[in-house]
Amino acid sequence: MAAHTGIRPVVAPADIAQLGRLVAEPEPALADPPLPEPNAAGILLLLLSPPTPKEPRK
Amino acid sequence: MSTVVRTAHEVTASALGWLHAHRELGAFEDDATADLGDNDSVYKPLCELALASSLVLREGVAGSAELRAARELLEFSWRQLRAGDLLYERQLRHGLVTDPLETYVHHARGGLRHEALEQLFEQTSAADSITEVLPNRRLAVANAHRVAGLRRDDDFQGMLRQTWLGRTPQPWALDWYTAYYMTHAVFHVTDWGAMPGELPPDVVGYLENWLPAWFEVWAEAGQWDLVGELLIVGACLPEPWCEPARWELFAGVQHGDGLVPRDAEPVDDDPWRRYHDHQHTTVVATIAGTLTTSRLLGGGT
Amino acid sequence: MDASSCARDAAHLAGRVLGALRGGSDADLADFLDSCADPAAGLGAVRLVGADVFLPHLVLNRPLDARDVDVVVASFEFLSSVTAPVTTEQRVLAWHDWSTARLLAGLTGDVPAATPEDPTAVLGPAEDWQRWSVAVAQLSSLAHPGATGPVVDVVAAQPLALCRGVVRTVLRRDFATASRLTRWLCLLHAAGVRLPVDPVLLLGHIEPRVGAEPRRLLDLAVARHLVGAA
Repeated sequence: MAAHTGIRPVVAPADIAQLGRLVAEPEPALADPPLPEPNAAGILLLLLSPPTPKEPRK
Repeated sequence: MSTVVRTAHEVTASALGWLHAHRELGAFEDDATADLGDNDSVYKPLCELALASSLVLREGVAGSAELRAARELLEFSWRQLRAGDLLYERQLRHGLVTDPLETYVHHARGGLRHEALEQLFEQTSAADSITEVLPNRRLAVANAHRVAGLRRDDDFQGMLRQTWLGRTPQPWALDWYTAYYMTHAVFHVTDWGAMPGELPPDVVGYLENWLPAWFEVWAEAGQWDLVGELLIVGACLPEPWCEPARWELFAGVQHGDGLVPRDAEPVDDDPWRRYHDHQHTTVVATIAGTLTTSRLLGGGT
Repeated sequence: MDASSCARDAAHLAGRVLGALRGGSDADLADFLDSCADPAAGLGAVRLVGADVFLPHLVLNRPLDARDVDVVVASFEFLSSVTAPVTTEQRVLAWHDWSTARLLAGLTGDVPAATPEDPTAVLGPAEDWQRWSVAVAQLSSLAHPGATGPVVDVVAAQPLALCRGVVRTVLRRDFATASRLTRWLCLLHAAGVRLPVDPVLLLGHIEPRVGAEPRRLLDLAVARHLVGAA
């Protein structure tokens, strides 16, 4: 037999308030929006990048 | 006078006063050469100072004290650039760079001209001696040519469509860096709010839809520099977006002396540090306030 | 009733519903309740998952077992509904419960539940879209296939406020709230409302980022079903 049949109606304001808080879950106060960070700037991939210039010959 | 006009006007007056009072902190230490050394420390801030000043003068909606400060700031940056000689030498030495033109036009707008430099720009432009740049930067160069009166066959609408904004991506497909690209695409295609009609209708609708959402995200994060740029974008729209609550929020972060902090981090006490950390955001605030005031009073139609 | 047990049981129940939606065995509410260490928390979990317990019946036309009905009825007997809500949480709960009771009545042929007050009392003005959209997210269980009613009407009339809200939450990387709003967005899309964002692309963005919380996966499963049916 299912356990729920043993539960009797109760007046439980605290439980209702708790259920209300669980249902009306607020959004998190801390956001994590895109901000300046080195890894977010992208890495320039130049497959044919020129070599580092050499000092000219004297 | 509407609340926003008053708020925007006060932000500008205060920001411009701070830039004027501390301008010497933005001077070159020694005689600068065409190679400039560290571009970001003096040259770029001077260019931004000239931009803000030139827009205050162009719009002409500030009080007489502010107009005088703007004039003096423009003359200050012009002196720092040795009345354009520095730009001339730099363009001669580095034929494909575009910053001399982009810096020059702010001064030229204010009547500070350099004949030999203009001839050099004409030659450079005719030869298409322009380095390859990101699409939003290409619009910046095209606008500089337009402001300088150099005739070219630049297709602004085509260029806009090459930018992030021009493709009107899904509005969450945006990061901090790309948000700046987006703002600059608007600045340059409209010449800083002078030609709101240059924005195609679909782009206008897109910005009207999403500016409020982007504003909330970066305002919550205290990214005041980007928030200020979003307010400039709002002022560049055919129907300016300038909600009182947003402007009150932005005005609320301005310090009593006029400094507008770049973000929510503590502001350093050292005067040099203060200037160099927050000069850009204070310039942004000056421009945002100027364009908003002007548009609400009927300019840029 | 212990809140953390209730939330844990609700996650478990949502997982069972999700399994049924994906073609697995029925959610079997009575069996679920028997599996709960604390029956009070289990009944609270049924109320928390709310109308979503009926999703397999709505989406897949699975027959509703009389024992499932008993469990839902018992969950209302255990914690009675709020009849005169005062706080925001009470108002959210009243609408959440209304949706559960209404779907139950629809499936059993009983008398429908009384409709709560004007939805603007819980949602606030749509001009304040940031706060409005968070309230809309809290009522995500009302956004089920075939949903109608006063809240649906109000949300459907404000597609831009809804889309601004979801764009904000996605950029904040709050994918839990984003998934609840996406469900609404997909409901509007299924109803033929023109939206300024692409709901399929939005879903594709959120799905790999939302994590493993079953209630949020259930939101996205509903959203996926709605765009599939559109």
